[in-house]
Amino acid sequence: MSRLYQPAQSIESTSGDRGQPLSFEWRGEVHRVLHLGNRWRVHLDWWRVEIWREYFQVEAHTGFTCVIYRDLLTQEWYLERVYD
Amino acid sequence: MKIAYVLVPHFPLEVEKREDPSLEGRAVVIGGLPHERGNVYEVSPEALEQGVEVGMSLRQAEELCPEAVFLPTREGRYASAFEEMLMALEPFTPLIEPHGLGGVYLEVSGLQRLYGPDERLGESIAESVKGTTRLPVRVGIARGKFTARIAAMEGDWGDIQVIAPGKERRFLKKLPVSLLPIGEETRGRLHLLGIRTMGQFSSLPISAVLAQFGLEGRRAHQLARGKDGSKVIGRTTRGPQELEFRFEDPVEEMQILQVVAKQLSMELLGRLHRCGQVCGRVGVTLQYDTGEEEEEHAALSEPSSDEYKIGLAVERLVSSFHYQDRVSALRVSLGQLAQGKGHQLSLFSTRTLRKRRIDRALANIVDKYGAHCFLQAQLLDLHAPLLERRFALLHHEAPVERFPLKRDHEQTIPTSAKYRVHEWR
Repeated sequence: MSRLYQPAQSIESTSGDRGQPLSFEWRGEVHRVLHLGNRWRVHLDWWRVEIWREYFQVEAHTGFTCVIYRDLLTQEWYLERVYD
Repeated sequence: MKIAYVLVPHFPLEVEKREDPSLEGRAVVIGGLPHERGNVYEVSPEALEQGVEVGMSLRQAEELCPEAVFLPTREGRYASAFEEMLMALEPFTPLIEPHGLGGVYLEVSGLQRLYGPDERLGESIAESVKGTTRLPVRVGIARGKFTARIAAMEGDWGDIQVIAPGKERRFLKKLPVSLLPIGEETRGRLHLLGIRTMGQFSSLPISAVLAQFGLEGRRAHQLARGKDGSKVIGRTTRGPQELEFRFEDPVEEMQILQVVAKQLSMELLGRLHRCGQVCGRVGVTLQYDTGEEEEEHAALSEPSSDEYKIGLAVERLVSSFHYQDRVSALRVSLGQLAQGKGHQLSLFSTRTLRKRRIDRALANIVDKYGAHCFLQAQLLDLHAPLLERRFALLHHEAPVERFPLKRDHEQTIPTSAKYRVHEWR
């Protein structure tokens, strides 16, 4: 089971030299990224309201597993899905 | 659920040996004569030791093992020998699933009174196959299909290996991970991580396995822990049932295709019900105006003839196509047919009753807390790249009856009368 946040929750994150998240803060807790699962990009509607995101499936050192993404237009990070 | 796996290793080779006992102990290569163009179909352990492998060219095989006896492939003969084997197994249970040439799964739950303990049952199965086919056989009995198969593969000639319930993980833990049904890439990554045995793999946390290897890894992880809920699919008795509808004028409306596909699937299901059959595979084929055909298939998690499950699978298949042109014909097929097990029919449709109960509960919640206290999710596009575009949340609002109907000339359809669609865009 997973919980989908709509709209996605804004988070603070630090990223590595290849753009991958190293750690992020959510609900006052800092999660250090232990494993990166899938990583994919979505680029849509460039002729309308452009959406350009890079998604990461991450597992934190706390055991917290979720899907976060970086808006490549604004460079802001969001949390979208949390796995049980 | 108790499964027996009956295995005749190197089946084509054993059939050849049965007909020519002088081949016993000699290096044998099946696939054709050495000067012929072709590939090795089967090799004996003696030829395997010389480096001959299935799939390599016959010329290579001769270079590696010049003393080998080369035989042509006689697939018809192997198939009829395998049919003999299946017939020898049929008296034990109606649920028999062939697995390649020389392997068969049997559902053997509840046979203790007839055959005694599992070891005795295994011996009876082996005796029956040997008596009918004169082929050496191995039998593995366990609670899941995977463990039963591995038990048969790891047993010695003629051995019966029974894995008691709860001992599956212990039995599997020392065996190599290469026995798991995983792809080359996953196998290579496990090797790089130093994971050699199923015991090492099964002790990893599931979250790590899922993150590293995805769904394939999770399935393999469960198997390595001895958990395998897959059922024996009864032997296919007939070819797939299929129906086609040709449109007089090619269509491009998805709704029309959905309706036609549903009608075809219901007609096919009627045929299945009349024969007491279930199907394990659903297929939809579209023929475009240009003459090109596109086909999509879906495997059901377990064989079924349930209208709801099949209807849902067909609906998803129809919406999964990348429509290139207008559609001139649509074909629905139900494959992997098998004889269904008997089940008690319900006097009332449980789905309708459940829907009524949900409606009643929702009405109570609305009365107590108001209409905006819950949302209903509705699937919009299963394959949308953005998660938020895959569904919409519907706000429950005033029921349809609250909109008084106008006179005929004024009447409009309140499209959002019951629900207001909230789109995530």
